[in-house]
Amino acid sequence: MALLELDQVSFNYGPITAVRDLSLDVEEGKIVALLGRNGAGKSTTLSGIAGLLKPRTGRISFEGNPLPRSQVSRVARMGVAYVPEGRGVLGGLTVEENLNAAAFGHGLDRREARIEIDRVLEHFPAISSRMNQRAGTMSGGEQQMMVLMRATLTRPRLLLVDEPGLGLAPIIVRAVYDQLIELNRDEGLSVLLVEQYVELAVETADQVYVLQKGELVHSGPCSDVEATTDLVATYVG
Amino acid sequence: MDLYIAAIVSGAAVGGTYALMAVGITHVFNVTRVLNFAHAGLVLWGANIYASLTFEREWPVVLAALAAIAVVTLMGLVSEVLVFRFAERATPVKKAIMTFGLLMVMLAVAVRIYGQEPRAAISLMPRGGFDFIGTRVSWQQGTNLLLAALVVGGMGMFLQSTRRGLLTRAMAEDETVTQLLGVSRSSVARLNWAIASALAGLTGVLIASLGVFFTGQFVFLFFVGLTASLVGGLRSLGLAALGGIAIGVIQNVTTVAWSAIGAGQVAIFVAVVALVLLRRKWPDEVSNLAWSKPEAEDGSRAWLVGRVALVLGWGALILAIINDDIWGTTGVTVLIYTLVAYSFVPLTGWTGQISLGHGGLMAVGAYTLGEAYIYHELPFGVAILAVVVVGAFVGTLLGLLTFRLGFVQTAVVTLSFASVVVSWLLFTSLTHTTAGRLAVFAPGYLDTGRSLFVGIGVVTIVVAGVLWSLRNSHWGTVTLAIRTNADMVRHFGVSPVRARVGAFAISGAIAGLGGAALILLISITGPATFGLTLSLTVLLYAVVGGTESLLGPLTGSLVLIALPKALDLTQSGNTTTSDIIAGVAIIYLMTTRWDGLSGILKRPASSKARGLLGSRGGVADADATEMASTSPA
Ligand SMILES: Nc1ncnc2c1ncn2[C@@H]1O[C@H](COP(=O)(O)OP(=O)(O)O)[C@@H](O)[C@H]1O
Ligand SMILES: [Mg+2]
Repeated sequence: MALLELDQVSFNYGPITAVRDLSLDVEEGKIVALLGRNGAGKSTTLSGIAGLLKPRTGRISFEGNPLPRSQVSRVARMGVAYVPEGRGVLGGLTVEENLNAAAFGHGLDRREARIEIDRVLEHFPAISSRMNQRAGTMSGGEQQMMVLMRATLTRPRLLLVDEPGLGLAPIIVRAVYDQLIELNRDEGLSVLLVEQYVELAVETADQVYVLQKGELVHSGPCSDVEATTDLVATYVG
Repeated sequence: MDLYIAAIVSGAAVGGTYALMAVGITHVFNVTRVLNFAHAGLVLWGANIYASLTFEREWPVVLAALAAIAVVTLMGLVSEVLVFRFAERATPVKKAIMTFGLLMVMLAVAVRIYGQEPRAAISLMPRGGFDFIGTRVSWQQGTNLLLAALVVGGMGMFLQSTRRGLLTRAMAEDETVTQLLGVSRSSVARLNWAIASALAGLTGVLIASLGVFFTGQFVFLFFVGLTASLVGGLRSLGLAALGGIAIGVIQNVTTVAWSAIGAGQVAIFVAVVALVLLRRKWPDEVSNLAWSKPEAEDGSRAWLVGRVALVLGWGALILAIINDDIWGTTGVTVLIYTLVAYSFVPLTGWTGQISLGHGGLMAVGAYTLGEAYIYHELPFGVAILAVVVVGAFVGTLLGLLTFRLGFVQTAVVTLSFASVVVSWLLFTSLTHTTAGRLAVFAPGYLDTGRSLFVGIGVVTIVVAGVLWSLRNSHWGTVTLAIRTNADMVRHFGVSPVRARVGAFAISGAIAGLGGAALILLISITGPATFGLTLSLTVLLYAVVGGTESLLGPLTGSLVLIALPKALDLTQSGNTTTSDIIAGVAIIYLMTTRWDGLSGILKRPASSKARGLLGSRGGVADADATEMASTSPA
């Protein structure tokens, strides 16, 4: 049984169907990439899993149980962390407050929050000197790191992350991806990743799904990076 | 000089309660982006419960205060369920209108139970006081100031140093992101609503402790608190509290300087306008009032039944008036509210603006009639023309003040306008009245209930006809698009600004006529008739009826005023029954996508082709047919 299973799921905005009959699995401990052009329905899929949209048809199950429909905070507390497009930094709060908000949201007290923050700081040592800075004043790369740190703080089973490299310099993008791979390797975190850069995604992921205009057009493993990249590029181009 | 020091000190002492009001309003707005009118209702109940417990039941003051705060907190939590659970996905503006409905219900029920007369409570603090720079400050005033400071400090501590406080700030910054962090929105909202309600209860207790109070005062207090909130940009609790104290001081100092009753209000109005116009950056809020209506389900004849009921209702009212002149008064009241509701059609229905100051425009109309017809002895028709012109002029001024403001700011500016008109009338030499007493006796041909009904009925039909042809003009068609897309309107050569201001001018003229009609009905009155409550009531009735369709105004007041009267539910001399019905109705209507009650009357597109009512199809035609068949003349 996969950790996350989507079975014939459709999402729509009013009369417009953005994703149609999508079936998708994320196995425990794997990184899965969801690829496709702009407007293909990738972000819609992630936010739907996170509970921000109600699926019009189909079922979403997590660890074998159906995910509560459109109860965003409950989905989060069940162990699904979602880093949305545009990162979702609480810019007016300090970095520490951002981290604490996630910890308190998951019912941790101050002491437990401190322990978890110290734990994840090992993965993100650069953030430790920024704890009292207002999150909105950090650079884009630092914000992305902070958000990944905040998402993993509460020991989620699954991380949904939407275009983490968007708007960042290539070297920073590399660092963000290394971080993702490290979290996957060291903490066994399963990841569903949305990305525009096919090559980067294929290198990182164990499995890819390709969406086109809301429909699944390809899925398969990424054993051969070059071949998979070429194949996916025929859809995404 | 001593006089000024005394004014400053006592002004600051009074400002303590304004500060508490402002902190409560700001806190809820911060967390939910909703302007919570119900806050005034909660304060009002806090004061009344405390007064009853201490004065009538002779409870110990501290116990009574705690009980009042507890009851009010409970009321607040129930309101929260109503507004936020019931309509979770409604826009902040719709939620604000729902809290407005709650306020009207709370006000009306309070008037029913406690009456409108001044009430007294036993002060929380013992009598007496202390001297501060040569000015006597009562223990109670000092305590109010101290408590305001403690509340601001305590709220700051809560927000900065507690876990819940952090989650509250996170939720205020971004609801979606915070929920994604596992934080339940409803639990944060409930907690903060409880805090604000408890604060409202405390504010009520402290106001009651200051001395005599009366129910109508609280809408004004809410408006002052809202003004103070603007000082803090609807964000900062500390600045909001300071704003409250500053308003207390300004009010007292200007009163000393001008020694005129309304001077304080004028000063606040100037402050409001300055604050609103000078400050560029406001917290974002949805300011669009438009709501699209789904077509009625195919095959459903609800609209037809509704329209037949509307015709029968007006028919019954007219029959009752023919039979018995007593019904004339009710009929005229219905018509006055209908007329004023029409003034909201171009304003709210067409251009998506709001006004909480139409009572002020009605006052302008009534006093203009008094000036022109009674003092200057102009012919009646000319005097009515003057009412229209002056109403349009003042409406234009209001429109110019508000055309680029959002919902909250417009609400404050228009409320402030109404309060300034009413208090100014008390002392101004602009009108030839003494202390604002106005007496206008209708000309002989209008002095029975029946004849006045016919007269105002004719005016109403003319107004509806003018609006109908306006809407079908090029200007009207383009203007209707403003609520959804101002840029597109610009493209068609109509300036959105001019359309908005123009709508205000038309609205002012119609509201002025409504005010003139009101003074013809009651003959003798004072400025209090046109107080803030009237402004709120006319807006409420208009929105309940519906402001987009021309059938809306014909529906609202008939259902809200004539129906309760026919069912013998009304207490004489006040509108509490209608207000309660209207308040409940508006809360419900905001959870639908209807344009008020008239949403029921909207003909589904599919049956238009069959031409059941209109000759050429189209809602506008049907409206006209409807109007002709229900006309009272
Ligand atoms: N809030 C929304 N309302 C209406 N349509 C939307 C909304 N968000 C996205 N869409 C539409 O849904 C489709 C999929 O969008 P999205 O999931 O954001 O694509 P991607 O993330 O793959 O670029 C697009 O056609 C987009 O226009
Ligand atoms: Mg996207």
